[in-house]
Amino acid sequence: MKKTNITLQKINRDELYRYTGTPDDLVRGIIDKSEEEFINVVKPSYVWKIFDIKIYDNGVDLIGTSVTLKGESIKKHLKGCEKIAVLAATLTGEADRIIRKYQISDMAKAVIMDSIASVSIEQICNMAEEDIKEAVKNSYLTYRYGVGYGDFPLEQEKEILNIIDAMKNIGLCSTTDNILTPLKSVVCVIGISRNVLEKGQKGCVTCNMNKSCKYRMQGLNCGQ
Amino acid sequence: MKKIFDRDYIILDGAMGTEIQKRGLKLGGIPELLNITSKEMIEQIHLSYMESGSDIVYANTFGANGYKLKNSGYSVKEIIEAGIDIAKSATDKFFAKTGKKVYVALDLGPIGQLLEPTGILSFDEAYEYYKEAILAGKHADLVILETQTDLLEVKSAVLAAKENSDLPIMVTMTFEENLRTFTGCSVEAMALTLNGLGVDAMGVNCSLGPKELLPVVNKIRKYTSIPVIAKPNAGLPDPLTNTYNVSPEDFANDMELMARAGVKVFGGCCGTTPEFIKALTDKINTLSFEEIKKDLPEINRVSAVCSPTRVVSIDEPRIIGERINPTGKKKFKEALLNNDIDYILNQATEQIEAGADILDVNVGLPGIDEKNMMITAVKAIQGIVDVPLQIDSTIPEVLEAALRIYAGKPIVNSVNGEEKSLDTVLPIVKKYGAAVVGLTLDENGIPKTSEERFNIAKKILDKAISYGIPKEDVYIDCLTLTASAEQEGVMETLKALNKVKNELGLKTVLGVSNISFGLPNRELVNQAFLTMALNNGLDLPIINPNITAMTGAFRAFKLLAGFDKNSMEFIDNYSEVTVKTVSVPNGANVNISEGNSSITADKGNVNNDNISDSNEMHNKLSIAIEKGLKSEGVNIAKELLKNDDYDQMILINNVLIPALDKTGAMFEKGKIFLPQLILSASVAQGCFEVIKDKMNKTGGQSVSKGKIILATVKGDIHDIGKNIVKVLLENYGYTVIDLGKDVEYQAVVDAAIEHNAKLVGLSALMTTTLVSMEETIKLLRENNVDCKVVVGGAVLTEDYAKKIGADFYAKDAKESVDVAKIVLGE
Repeated sequence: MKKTNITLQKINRDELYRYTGTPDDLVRGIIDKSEEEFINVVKPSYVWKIFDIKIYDNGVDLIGTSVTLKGESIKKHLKGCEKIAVLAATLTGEADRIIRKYQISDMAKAVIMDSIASVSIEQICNMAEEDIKEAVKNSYLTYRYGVGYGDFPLEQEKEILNIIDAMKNIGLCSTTDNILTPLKSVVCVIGISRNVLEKGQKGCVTCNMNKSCKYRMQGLNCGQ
Repeated sequence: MKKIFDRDYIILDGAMGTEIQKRGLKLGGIPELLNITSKEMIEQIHLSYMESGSDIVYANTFGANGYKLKNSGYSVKEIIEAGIDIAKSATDKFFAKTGKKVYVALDLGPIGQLLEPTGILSFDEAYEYYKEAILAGKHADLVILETQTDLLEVKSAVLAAKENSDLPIMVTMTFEENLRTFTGCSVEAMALTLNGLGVDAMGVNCSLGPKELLPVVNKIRKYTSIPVIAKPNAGLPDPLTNTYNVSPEDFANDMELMARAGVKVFGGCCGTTPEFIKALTDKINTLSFEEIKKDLPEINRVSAVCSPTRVVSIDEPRIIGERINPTGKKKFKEALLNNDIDYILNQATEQIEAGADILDVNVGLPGIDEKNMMITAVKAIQGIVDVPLQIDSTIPEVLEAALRIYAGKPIVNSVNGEEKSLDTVLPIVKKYGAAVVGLTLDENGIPKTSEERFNIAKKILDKAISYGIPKEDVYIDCLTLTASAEQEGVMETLKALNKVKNELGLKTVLGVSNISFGLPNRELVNQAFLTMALNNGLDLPIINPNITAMTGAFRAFKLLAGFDKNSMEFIDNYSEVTVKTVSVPNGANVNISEGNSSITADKGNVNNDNISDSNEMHNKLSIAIEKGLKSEGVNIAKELLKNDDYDQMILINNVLIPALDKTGAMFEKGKIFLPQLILSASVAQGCFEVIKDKMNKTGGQSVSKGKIILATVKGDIHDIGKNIVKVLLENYGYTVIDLGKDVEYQAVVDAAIEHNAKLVGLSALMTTTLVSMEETIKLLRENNVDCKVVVGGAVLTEDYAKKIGADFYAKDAKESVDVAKIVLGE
């Protein structure tokens, strides 16, 4: 299932202020304008697909595909699940372009646009997750687990994108160094089970900021 | 083979992937390997489509390119040759059985890597991948480039096909519900660009069903008369079962509507099967091509140029911005010599904000490699703006280099009536499908009379047509002479313009500013001349849109001449303008407009009366920096520097740097955040610009405190962090040599040596690219480069920085300034 050309209604300000800090009036004004422009120009897309899985000693097989998810952490994450949803989302090249543009003409705005983008991609993933919940009613879902988290190898990014045809469906691919392009994009898996799952903490590992979070760099987290 | 397009209707095949999966292929494999391992299965699929009515079948080569097959164990040549062989063997068998000749298309999808600047694939790399595939598929009957989403990638593929084979080329791109591709390319931009490049058929495939794709057809036919292709999906897929929701019969019925809208070539994409193609064939066989053709609207060829995302029709006057041109501009020349692309990009964005519809790009300067600079500039500009470009150079080689990598249909500036010019420039214009500006001059210079200039215009037009360039792509420049030197020439220019426009029916273009050279109050003369020219039929004035009087005259003309319907554009731009009349000392009254949407839009709030001495102004400037009030700060700096005795080093050392230090300290303490820090920095940056301007005028000493090399390391393309550091360092007065992102190790070493830089800053965002950081440092050390290295980036730690041999670790942009102070001095 894919959705393209999505219009965001608004950007979650609480989340945004985690990136920008609490704004003064001047910055708030820039944020208001940036949000409006961003929402008008950036039309995100996502695609997801559900696969039956089988968990083996050496990983997690996606039935009907040639893909085996590797690593202990993903096995642990999917424990008790019969299916997974593979989800890819992108803010498209327009988000990259708008950030690039403002890096030339107005760096403060570029930083704010970059922050808005980071919040938006999470919002888009939330929307996709709602879709998935709707599609697999009466099931329990794990949190989103990104490729590259724990010992789930980043090298698997390409084959995972491939089985959901991410290039064709939403124009998303991965460079030779496994960097997603467009830059503001996410690829993750969500476990699906008919039974109640052990409650997973929604910790830093699931956050797409986990590599650039200013709290985390100081050994804290955003909940502290 | 091109004769196939003479047929009334042509039927393509349906999905290959769907059929392969039906036969048990697992997702995630490379379907093209079946050309080696399951020849019979692929042949069966081809045969089933031929039996359903296909006139052309696509070989199983969609993903057979050097990038996707890299680790497959097979070469592109092996896979493609096998794919074409299988399809040929199937068409031969079918011919033997039925006597019907079916053609085989070499099918090429996208490379699988996005092109720069969103991705990392260069135009030349894309070209090479396609070239390899096209050479391998030379035994096919034609080439189909399908499921494409990036106009520049398509262009690289079309050029690869044209330059390496004689096969006919079909192109279909994939549009979403908003009728744009993922990269934002519109249907119209595709039609204009591909029509210019001379493909044999174009259209749409995949993504949606026939109903949803119907509007695409009219949009394509607006700009081209070549055959239109429609190869839609079998409707939309069910999210859980992945089955499609349109039946073969409904599909065929919807495709009839496509035929009635002007489609000539039909097929099916995802979810369509031989049953769909059979139903489609049966339906199309019932239609009368001639009857449908009679009812189709005529195609009116119009003058238009485009970027992938924006089409600019020359059906009303449009502004060409002239500022990207070093002639007579000291700062621009300096920027070119220093490879300062940001300066050029700023010129681009400023002009667009001021109202430019098209941007002229000229980077010709003695002492620089114009070709490389043009390529760099065009790539960078098209990476951030969406207006079409006018490529401006006197050197055909430079024009061609830019035309190759331009993603859309640009204008070439220019050709003239000299035979040599016509015979070198026009073939390039034709090959790349551009529009061209023709200057009405020749071997004998600029003729005096309008009649003679008209004759040259006619000559240019005739020659263009003989090269296959359509009339609507020829724009004539009747050349502005200087009124102070050749007053009688002014009306000759306008007469010629009028005649070219009305008698030849061509679009006209004119550089306006020359008219006033040597006169006082040039703006007034330029403005009047612009209005006169527009009234004589000028379509494309080349002006500086940042001058509000010029854009004002332009917009007022459009309003008065009825182009600006209901005065919408005018009101939009001037509703907040109040005009007041003030007396100036000589007694004249001057009208001053305020609130204009020019580049000076962020107006200062400084009341000069209240500023009694420089100390007070210093205080105000410090506050402006702390609060991030750019225009206010810049105005104070200007005011201070008006006094020739004022020492600018006092401004830098006693005001700018301490104020920046103060905001830096507040940032460190968490009292302000990154946006505020950058806002403050940009006020200081504005002040430094004022100082530089003054020094350029007075020829004073440079204010640079030393050179710093910055780079985002090889493999990493997240560069915003590095760019923030750059802004801060520049605002402290350091000269930054920015090498960009994904920078080769050696390039860092070379730059450090060339610039004798004492500090090198390296940035990386990903854990996976920290290795590149380490390698870069290693290479610097191996080459004994006399410099310190500072590293930063989200995943970096102080310990790790030490481990990889860096001299300093900066946890944020502010700390990188602290490091610069240590290494290069305050």
